[in-house]
This record gives sequence, structure tokens and C-alpha cells, in this order.
Amino acid sequence: MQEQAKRIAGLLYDGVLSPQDWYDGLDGLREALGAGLFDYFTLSTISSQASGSVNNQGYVGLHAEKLREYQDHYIGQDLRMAALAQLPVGQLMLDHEHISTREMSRNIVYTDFLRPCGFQHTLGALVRDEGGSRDFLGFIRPSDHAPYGANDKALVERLMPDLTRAARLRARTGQLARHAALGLAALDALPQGIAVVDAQCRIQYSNPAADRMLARPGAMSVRHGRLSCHDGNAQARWQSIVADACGRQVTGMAGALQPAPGARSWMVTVLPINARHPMALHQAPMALAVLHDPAAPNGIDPRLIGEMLGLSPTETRLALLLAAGNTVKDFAAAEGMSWHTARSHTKNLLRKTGCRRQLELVALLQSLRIG
Amino acid sequence: MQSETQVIAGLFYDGVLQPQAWHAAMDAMCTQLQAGVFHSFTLDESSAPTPESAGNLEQFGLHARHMAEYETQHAGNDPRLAATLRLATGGVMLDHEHFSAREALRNPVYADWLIPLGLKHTAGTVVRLEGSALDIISFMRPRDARPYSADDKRFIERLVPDIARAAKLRARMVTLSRSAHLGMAALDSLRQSIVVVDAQCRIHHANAAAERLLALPGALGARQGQLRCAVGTVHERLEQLVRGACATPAKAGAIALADGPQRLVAAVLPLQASHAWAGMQAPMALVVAAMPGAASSLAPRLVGDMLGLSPTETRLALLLAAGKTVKDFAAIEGMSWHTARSHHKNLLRRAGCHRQTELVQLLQTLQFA
Repeated sequence: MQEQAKRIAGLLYDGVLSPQDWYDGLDGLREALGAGLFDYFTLSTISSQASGSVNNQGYVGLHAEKLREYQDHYIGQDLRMAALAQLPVGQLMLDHEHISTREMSRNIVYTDFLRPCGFQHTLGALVRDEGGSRDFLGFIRPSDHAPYGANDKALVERLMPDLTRAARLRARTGQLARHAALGLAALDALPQGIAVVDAQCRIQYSNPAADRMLARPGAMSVRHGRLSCHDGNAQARWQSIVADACGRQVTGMAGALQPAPGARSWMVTVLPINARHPMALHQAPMALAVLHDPAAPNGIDPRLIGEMLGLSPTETRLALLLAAGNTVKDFAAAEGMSWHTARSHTKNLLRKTGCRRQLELVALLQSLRIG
Repeated sequence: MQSETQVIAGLFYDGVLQPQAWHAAMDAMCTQLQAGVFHSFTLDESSAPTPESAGNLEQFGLHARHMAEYETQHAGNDPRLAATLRLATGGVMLDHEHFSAREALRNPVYADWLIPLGLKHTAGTVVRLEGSALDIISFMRPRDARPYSADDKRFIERLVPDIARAAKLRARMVTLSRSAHLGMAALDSLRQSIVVVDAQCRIHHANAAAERLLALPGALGARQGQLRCAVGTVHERLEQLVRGACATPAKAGAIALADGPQRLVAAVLPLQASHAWAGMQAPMALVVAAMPGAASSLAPRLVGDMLGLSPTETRLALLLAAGKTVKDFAAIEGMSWHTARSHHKNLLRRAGCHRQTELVQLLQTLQFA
């Protein structure tokens, strides 16, 4: 039993990161208990919704519909769940100790659900109860098997500290992985260039839009893992902006950085990242840089902007020229059309976007492009 | 004995989330091994985040300067470290099995550092080897104590599988916490409202700005965990765009949520599942809402703080952003054109701008950043 319990505990801890090991650990315990079925699931205490079930129901011929049927019709009348709800985390529930044979023969969960599927006795426990969700684990024996005995109880009790600890670690890992996935995916999807740097300008994260900007020749690039400016003056300015955002309690810093005398500047906004965020883990101060190159519409494909606003290709070109700081006259010259025609395109453009003035249109485009 | 190792293993697992439990586990091993000092640390050549090291070096009178001395003068030729690294993973190094007492006495690490500090025999093992990272635990006995015995070795060996497993979990947790913190905190620091929703408009995450926007009565709100527009037709259009962004192939779109002075536009963008681990199997969309007002709607204090401007320069910047000229500014402030021009020069210099159009663009980016 010693070795068996140790092996199962090891699989459960490995299961914190590996779903297969988690399954194998639970299945190993099921086998050791002589049960036919195991089910591990999370119940939200707020919505009473079950989720994240790990079980071997497919193996024993029970399919997803059966599980749904249980959740829809039976879970509310399940005497086993009622008994479990009374017990603290980690305490075992053997159904025959809580529910008499008479009660079992009258309860529809036993008569209409378990027995027709060929199952009866259940050993269960609440293994985690924190932050609005509870994890339950159950092992169910075939109907021709005897109720669970003292040996079964001893084995599960021996494993219980490992089981509850692994359940907590697994839930925490899942939550962190979810947060990390959502947060980084959201930053990745933003069309503006975003880079997270530490006080020494070392890049900790950059989104695809920033990667594209930094790969092109421009005001900034990555050197030895640091986000830096080519021009000496701009570099000094950039470093001091980042140091300020990382060091002092400021709302943020912003400035224009010029790649070379006479060239178009990049607009850079640097915001401090809150180190008191609940997920911070002894973290060095960091800052978030939003990069904007007015000369190159970063992020969304220009064609997409036209599509979003329902513009013709000509109107889209006009809108982008205006956004880059050019005039209607410049547009007429570039397209080789009369000023009159250009003006009528402008009118249509404003009408279609619902803007009253050119300035509003520029602002609208800007908000679409970077947001 | 069996239960003692079990308790210690449990402490190591608790140490995955709680540094003090990891410390307690090391302390318990240290007591069991009759050692005076324990140390659990990570060697990593990359700049990746590492778990906290744990030790009771200070209790034994070893201070930061001793550790600095070790790191600069001795770590490079420490025969204990070399012997530990030569062993296969999970192997336990007892120093007397690798070099004689004579050799030890001649070695500067023992002669000039350990023994003067009152320590001698060392047991150590590598508990994690992943990429460029190494987690090592070590125990040092007082200098008058005997070398570690075979029993001591067996005791460590019994615990190594659990420590190794816990060390791996701990390292993974540090990386995950960091990614989660970085992503969430970065989103929170943006001033745009950003909401992650699934195809049914259920909110999975809202950054700090979005939480504020959704809490206010307005064009966009949350009801029963779902993103909702106040106007029915607009909501239908938003639902359609969100479904489009969650479909394959995914499509981005934009929508005006409210017109007039409270104008609010939103871009609906597909969320790539490139970082998908558990929990993000369903396709999701990003709703980014912004108020494309004139830059003059910016709070003067914010502009002043962010660009490092004086109050006068801030007023000038906001006027220029609203389409006014330096002359207008001079008239409004009742100052000479010459004075206004010198404010203008200072303003451009402080913002790092070379032309006035650059300044206007910079102010425009400010309101969305």
C-alpha cells in the first residue's frame, strides 16, 4: 500500500501540470479501490455549474449525454452530494455510512441513474473549496460489489493530504495560465505597438505590432535585448522617460523621438506598470511603452479601415492621407484630380464616417488604428 | 521516520506557493541531518525570473558580505559545486566521498571561507535542471561535526523525487505568475477600455479603464456578465461583429457605440490563441473602446505631467491641439507675441518635438495610450 500510495501521489503532483498524469493518478486510485468509475469535477458555488470534469466515463460506456443528463436532472436530488456538502474539505464520504439501503432504493439517482448504468456504492470527498469554486472527487463501484471497507478508507485517507494539496496547486496553475493566456493574447491583438521594458530598457514583452515596427528602419530598434533609439539625443531622452516611469510615482511620460535630424519622429507614451497588482511576484519596476509612428499607419491594414467604415478605395486613400497630416490639396495633386473632385470625395468621406470636421475624422482614424 | 519524510515532502509541495513553507522544509531537513546551515538556490545564466532562494545563513552569522565574498572569490572553484554537478540528476553529493580531508584543507573554499566561518562537511544535490536553470540544495555541518553517514544520504535520497517535483512546479509557477502579472498589469496601465469577450459577448476580462467605463451609465455596460449596448440596434451590430471576430476566418470590425458629445467608438478584433493554455479553448474577441474627441478633451494635468510642462506651456499645447495658433494664445493670455513664442519654443523642446504638427500628433496619441 505504501508504494502504491506513493506512486499515485507522484502522479497527482505531476498532474498539476500534465492532464494525462492527473488522469493516470485518479485512474490508479480507482483501480486500487476496485471502483469502476471515477469523476473529478469543479462546481461553482455561485452558479452551481459543473465544469472541468476529468473522468473515465467514456471507458465504462457512459457518454457525454449521460453526464449531461445527470447534471440536468439528477444532481439536485443526489443524496451523495447532499452528504458531501455537510463535510469539511478532505473528509471522506462512504455512501452506505450516510444513506441507508432503504433511502437508496427510493432515491431516483440510485434507482433511475446509477443502477441502470450498473453502478452503486460511492466513495467521495470535497478536495478543494476556495475562491467560489469547489472540487469534488468520487469513485463508484459496480452494483455487484460490496460497499467500501476500512482498507479503502485508509488508502484514501493516506492520500488525502497529497490530493488536496495537488488540487489546490492545479487550480492555481490553471488560473494563472488562463490569466497569462488572456492578458498576453489581448496585448498581442492590439494594433498599436506595445513593449514592456524594465528601468534599463530591457524588453520583457513586445506585441506583434511593435515587432513589425521595430523590424523596419525607424526611430527605434532592439539592441542586445534593449529597446533603444538610433539618435543620441533621442536615446538620452528615451532612457530618462523610462527611468522616470519606472522610478517615480508618475502618471506616465510621453515624448516625440526623432530618428535623425529632419526625419519624422515617433510618438512614444510610457506608462508605469502597477507593481502592486495582485499577481505581482517580487517584481522589478517596469514600464509599458506605446509606440506610434505617424508616418506609417501601424496595426490595422488600411484596406480594413476602409472596409470598417464602408469607404471606397479612393476615400480610404484620402482618409489615410489626411490622417498622416496632409491636406485635400495634397490629395488632389497625388491623385491627379481637380480640387473640385477631391473636395467632393472629402464631403462623401465625412458624410460616411459621420464626422463634421476634418479634425474629427483624423481623431476617428487614430482611434481605430490604435484601438 | 517514514512519516517525517512525508511531512517534509508535504512542506516542499506547500512551498510551491509559499516561500516560508519551502524554508520550513529546508529547515526540517537541516535539523534531521544535524547540519548548521542550509541553502536552496537557483543558478541561471539567462535573465529569466528565478524562484526565491532560501537559507538560514544569517542565523549562523553569515552575512551578505560573506556571500558576496563567496560569489566573487570562491564560487568559481568550489569543489563541492563541481562534484554536485558531476553527479547524475537525483544523485546526492557528500563531500568526503569526493575528496579527502587533506584535499579539502588545501582548497581555498574550505581553508579561507568555510572553516573560518565555522563550517565544514557539505551535502548537496541538484533538484532541477531545466534549460539553463539549475536548482541546488545544500546542507553544511559545523566544522567539528563528523562527515555525513550513509543513513543521511538515504534520507536525502528518499526526499529527492518529491523535492525535484516540487522544484519544477515552483519554477513553473514563477514563470506563469510573471506572464499573468505582466499581461494583466500592462492591460491595466492602458487608458483605452479593453474587454475580452467570447462569441456570446460574455466578458472574460476587462482592464481597469473598461471596468470604470462599464460601471458608468452610458452607451456600453455589463449585464449578467455580458457586454451590452444601451441601444438595441447598436447591440445587435456589436454582437454581429463579435461573432465575426470569433469565427474562422476571423474578421475585425469597428462600430460607433454613441454619437454626439459622448461619442464612443469601438474596434472589435479577433484574439489569436497563440498563448492558449488551458481555459482558452473557445475563440475570443477583443473590444477596444475609445472616445475620439478632440485632443482638447485631455485633462490639462495629465498633459502637463506626461510631457513635463509648466501650466502655461500646457495651456498653449492644448490650444494648439484644438487648432489655435501661437498668436491666439498670446491674445488669450494677454502677453506679447515674443513671450508667447518663447513659451512655444520651450514647449516643443520639452516634448521632444521639432514641428508643431508633431506636437498635435503627440497629444492625439496621449488620449488613447
